[in-house]
Amino acid sequence: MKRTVPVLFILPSLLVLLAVALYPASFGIWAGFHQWNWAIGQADHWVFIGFGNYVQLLGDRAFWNAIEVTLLFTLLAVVLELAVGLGIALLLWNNVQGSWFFRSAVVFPLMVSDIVAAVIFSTLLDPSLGTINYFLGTLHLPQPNWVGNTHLVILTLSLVDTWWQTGNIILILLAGLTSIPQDRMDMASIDGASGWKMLWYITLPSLKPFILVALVFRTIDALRVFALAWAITKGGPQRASEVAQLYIFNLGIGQYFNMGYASAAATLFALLVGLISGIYLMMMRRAPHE
Amino acid sequence: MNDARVVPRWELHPKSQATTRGLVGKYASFVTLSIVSAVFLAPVIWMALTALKTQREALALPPVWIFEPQWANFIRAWESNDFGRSFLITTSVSIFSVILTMALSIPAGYVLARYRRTWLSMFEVGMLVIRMLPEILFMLPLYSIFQMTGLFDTQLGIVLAFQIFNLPYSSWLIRQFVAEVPVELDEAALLDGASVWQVLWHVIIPTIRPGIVAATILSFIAVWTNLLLPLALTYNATPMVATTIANFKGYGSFDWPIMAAAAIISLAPQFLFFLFAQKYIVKGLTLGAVKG
Repeated sequence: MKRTVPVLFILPSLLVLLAVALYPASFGIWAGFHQWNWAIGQADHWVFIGFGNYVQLLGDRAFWNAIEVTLLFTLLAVVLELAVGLGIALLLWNNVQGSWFFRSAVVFPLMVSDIVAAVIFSTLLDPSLGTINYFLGTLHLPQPNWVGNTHLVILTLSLVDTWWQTGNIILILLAGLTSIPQDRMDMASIDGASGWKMLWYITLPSLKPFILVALVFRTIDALRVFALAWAITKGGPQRASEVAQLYIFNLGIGQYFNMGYASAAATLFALLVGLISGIYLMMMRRAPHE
Repeated sequence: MNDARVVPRWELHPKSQATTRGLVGKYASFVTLSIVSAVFLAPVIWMALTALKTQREALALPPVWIFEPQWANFIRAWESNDFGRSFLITTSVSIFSVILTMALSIPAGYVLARYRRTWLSMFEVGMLVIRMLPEILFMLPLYSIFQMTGLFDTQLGIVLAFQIFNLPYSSWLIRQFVAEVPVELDEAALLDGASVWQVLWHVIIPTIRPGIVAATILSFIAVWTNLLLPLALTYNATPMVATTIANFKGYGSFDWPIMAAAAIISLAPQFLFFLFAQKYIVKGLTLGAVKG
């Protein structure tokens, strides 16, 4: 009787996930081995071409551009968010007056949907009508073309992402900071360690596992960026912000309906995300806990 | 302190020195945090102000600070672009989606926390893998599968699609909360002759209520804040707020204050949860990540 419990309790979830996740994913991977281009009337039949799509992908500059753009965005966003998040978490930990309000303020953007974040910033960042450049102008600072400059656009999107998602990192690091045993801090303090020394030799090493967790979560999320690019830049200018999910979306259901090829691209990208996550998981297993 | 080294003069009164430095530090932290908070809040406040302006005031540079609030913008936003309908549909989708998520993930999370089986670990790893995969891997095939099965552009279809990410996340969260409940509590109830269902219902669920609230709210918010799923799987029959807001921007001359008003309305559910249940949101977001 008790033996059947785990099966009974898991079965409904398992069935739902089989139907909405495993079956579609397998279907998609299988579709990637076919020529299946709805735009040329192949919606109801496909032609098996083995690794044909993958061979084509290897030489597809737009695909590798999308991967490169995604990796650059992820790197910038995660580094910025970690730096800003660590700074804010340490300040919040100082327990100044009104900490609860400050924490709410920096976590609040997490409640904002991706499209609304994109809509807000696409207007704020407009080169001629945007408020941000207006204020920079009144301070006599340069007014860059945030979304129209191919060299700047990825940094712009990472900055928006920093505004939007740093709250995640702050919450994880705050949990880490409160878990540091107080006597360890007191001992160091009695030994006469200065604030910076305590930070470097005690706080940061104790935080290491938490920093790693924050890094993993944000990296995996940032690799899947879609709405910011879709709504703020549409991938432009000249594909400079065409992130992987946007490129694949347009190849498939967004624009070209080249479903077989898009499925192969999605599979290859998922493998890449899996590879990066796998490396992280190995790093985490190697890092000693606490 | 009686060693021979030369003691700098300011170190002679370490205590007073430390408190002054501490005070300065606190003051500096306070000022920095105030500025940082202002930066984090400004974009949304800016949008809320824009929602109350006329189109002309909204586009004016330098920005207009004193204006007559146009409350009617919210009514116009509700009535234009199918936005009002999409709000109601999103409400309905989020409620049904969350009910399904919770009904499935509470028993699943319980079993994952309490039983050790190889196939259970495999299931758990599988869920984590699903959660970290890019959405597009599922959306391309689901688009054609939903077209074939008639689920495309229906509430049922989008409710099911949201399970891909919400179900693993919620099960994982529930699992963490159940793991914190001492197993002796279950055993005592089982010894008294309770069935596992009764243990789950009368012992576990009341004990992990904060966890259930957290998982419910976070699953709910996830439905409101995702663009790609509704963009891929719905169209005119089942508009969702994420796509109708995007549509405000789509065509030629768009009315910026009206779009801002729609965006503010679409933030209302999350904002209310954040106002009244922030404790649970913070707990869920933290525990969901940290116990890994």
